[in-house]
Amino acid sequence: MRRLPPGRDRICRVAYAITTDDRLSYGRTTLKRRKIVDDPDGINSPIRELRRLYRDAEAKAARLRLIVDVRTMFDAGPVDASMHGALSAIAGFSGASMASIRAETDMRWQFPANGVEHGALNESTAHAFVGKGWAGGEQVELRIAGLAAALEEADRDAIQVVTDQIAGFLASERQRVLRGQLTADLKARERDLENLVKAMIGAQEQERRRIAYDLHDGVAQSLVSLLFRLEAAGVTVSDASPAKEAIESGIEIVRMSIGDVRGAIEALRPAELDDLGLEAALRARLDDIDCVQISFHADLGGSRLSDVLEVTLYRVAQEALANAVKHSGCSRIDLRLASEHPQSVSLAITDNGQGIADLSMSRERGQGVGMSAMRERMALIGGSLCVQSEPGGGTSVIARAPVSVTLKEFM
Amino acid sequence: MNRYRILIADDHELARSGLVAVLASAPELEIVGEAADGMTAVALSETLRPDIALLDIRMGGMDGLEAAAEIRQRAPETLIIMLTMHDSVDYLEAAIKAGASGYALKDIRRDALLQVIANVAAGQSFFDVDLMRRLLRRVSPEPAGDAAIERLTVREREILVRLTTGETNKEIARSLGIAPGTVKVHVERILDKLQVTDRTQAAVMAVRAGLVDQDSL
Repeated sequence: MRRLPPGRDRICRVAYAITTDDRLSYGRTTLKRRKIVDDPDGINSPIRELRRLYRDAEAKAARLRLIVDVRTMFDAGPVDASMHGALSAIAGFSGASMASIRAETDMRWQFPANGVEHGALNESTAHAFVGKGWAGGEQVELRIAGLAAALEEADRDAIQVVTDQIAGFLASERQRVLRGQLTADLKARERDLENLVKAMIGAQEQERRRIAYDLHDGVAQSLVSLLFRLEAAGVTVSDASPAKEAIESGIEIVRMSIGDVRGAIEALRPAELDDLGLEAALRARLDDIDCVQISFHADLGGSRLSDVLEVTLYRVAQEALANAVKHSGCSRIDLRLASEHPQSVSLAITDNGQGIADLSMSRERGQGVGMSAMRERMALIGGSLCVQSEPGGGTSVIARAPVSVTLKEFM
Repeated sequence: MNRYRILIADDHELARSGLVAVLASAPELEIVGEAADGMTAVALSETLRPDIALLDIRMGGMDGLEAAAEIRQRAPETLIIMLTMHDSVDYLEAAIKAGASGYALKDIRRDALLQVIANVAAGQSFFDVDLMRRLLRRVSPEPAGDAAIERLTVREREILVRLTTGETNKEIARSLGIAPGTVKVHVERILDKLQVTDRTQAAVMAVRAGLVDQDSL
């Protein structure tokens, strides 16, 4: 053994013994050693210096591990389990007997679960950290208590980082829940809207049908009766009588009115649609189109479709035919009604007109609105509407729908 | 003079009474019964055996088309004229299928209605001319096939073409310079050769076979 000044020998041995004792915290040992050992350059204790460096590295690794562990826990599991794991890790890291988190929403978590209430601890052995997440929008308070020893600054920094992490996780969790709620709300409103549209279209169809029936059974029959009575009256007066002329012009006015009422009934809801079916109604509609070459093919074999399907497809055809006749300047229209396979039916309306230059622009010219409405109506019965058009290449509108659709709103 | 006995069926009281008023002023007609629905029309046809039944199409309960088919079964000598608001080719087709001999719209003039009744009573079918034109326009020509048309004589073909424009036997006779009775015989032979039961179906076959220029319809 080297020679030492009197009394120094014992102290030095004690210091050595302390440095070799793994059970004691490294930080405090260093402080003692620095006081006791008169060896500022550390030349005499390279092993001790190596141990110091090694322990520093270990401490750093522990801090990093804490940060990474907490992050992994939150990435993996549900909030409560993650929080419990994180608090347990923090308590273990800091040597605390208890750790707790309080969020802004006043939600609390603590470790161990049956420990003392958050904040009710003796202040001298407690530490509090405020963590911020979501750019300060979310704050949490972490408290650790019952520490076996004071914390080093670097350890406090690590706990601060973890607290900020927890705040961040809580913030993103809250956002996620909020997003989920918003999505659910939005879906519910979409459903409401769909039901509303369904009800409105159903009400509109019912109304149209009712008015058409009323016109047919009311005004039209009265006009017919009036016409017959005028005719009967006409027989009783001589051709030379001035009354004859008045009766004749009355007859013409009544016949014109009957024509008008008939046109109104056709436009509202053609009788063919209810009595004879979609095919007949489409043919009748095509009969009214002059100056355009028409071809119509139907391969439903004369079988009727459900009411709602017939009405919807008829309205689509009505809209598409009106567009073709009014806007496209076509010379030919081809209509095809086909059962694609036993479960679905398709209606295609194709013209050889100028086409729609820009399908998205057509809305501005008022053409697209009707078609959008038709798309909505097709969607309501689980079908689809596809519009294909190229400038100069004509337009084709294809509606497809399952045949099994029935909606009570439309009855 | 033998008066035609007429049955009227219409569920609209006002329209029916108006129709009675119009027909009552025609001395050649006698209104023997009125019905407000198809069932009654069928029952009355069976008991009254009218020459002609004027039926509205849309009626509550049994409609005019069903009633027409039923009357053709139970009282075959009663001829049927549909008198309706429906200005529609499909109702016309349905009426023909149901066995109606005439189809007229309710806003028809009195003279024209009396003419339709007279024609049908005389054994000819008579359908609204404008509707017939539209019906025939629908028929797409299929030049291939139809060997039945090949068996027609030149004169029969001539008459068949005229059937497509809804001409009556009298009119055809006048324009071809032959007797109406001869036309009637020709028409019967045409129907027999084409194996159809009425002039309308024959006309449809003519159009389908391309005997008629569709643009002229």
